Amino acid sequence: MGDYGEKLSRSGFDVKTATDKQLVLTSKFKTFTIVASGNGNVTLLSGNYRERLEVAHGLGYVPAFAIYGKISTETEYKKVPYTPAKFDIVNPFLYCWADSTKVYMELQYGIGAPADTTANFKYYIFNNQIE
Amino acid sequence: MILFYNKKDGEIFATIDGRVHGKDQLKMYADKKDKDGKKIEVGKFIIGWIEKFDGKKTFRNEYNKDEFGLMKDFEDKKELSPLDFKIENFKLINK
Repeated sequence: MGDYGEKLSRSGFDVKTATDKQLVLTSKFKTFTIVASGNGNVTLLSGNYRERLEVAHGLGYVPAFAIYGKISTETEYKKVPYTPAKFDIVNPFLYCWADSTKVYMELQYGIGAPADTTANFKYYIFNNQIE
Repeated sequence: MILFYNKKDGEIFATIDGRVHGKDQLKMYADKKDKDGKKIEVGKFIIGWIEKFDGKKTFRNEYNKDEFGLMKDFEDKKELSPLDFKIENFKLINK
């Protein structure tokens, strides 16, 4: 098979002779591509420990994924999984995982939610396969 | 944009971003349980286009054009989220 692909070099470098580090883009390496992104809400009722949202991706393999989350009354998003400081069980945990059918986003309280609490999640599911 | 909502109360609880959706995204769905731990009955509301390939060419079908302006607002305005809306009589209503 002949030489094929796509390369884009940095300013000042000849794309035909540039090294990988002198390139802005090359099809030589895999890149993450997004199959779907979106938002979701989970409401944990007062006194409950965990509640989750499930997004079925239908890919048939475990995809790479990235999740961000926040408690609805807060402004900053956290990278999920997020745990408060060690032994801090009165604050919420944001958790996530994936299998070959779904991506899961969960809101947890170690001692039960003190009041009805909603978490907002932002998710990205990639075409790239973990397993 | 694909919106998933609780058929019982119209509450939107999950979304898939985008304006044009192909078969991979149309296979996707979201699940959630109600306060009694039972899976809710989920409705799907599409704003934008569904892309299909008939073996020869690709064509797009338009869905809920009346809501295109609102979809653009969801994309452009950080403070506006479809999760703050619900579906009532096949229309988006701000809660």
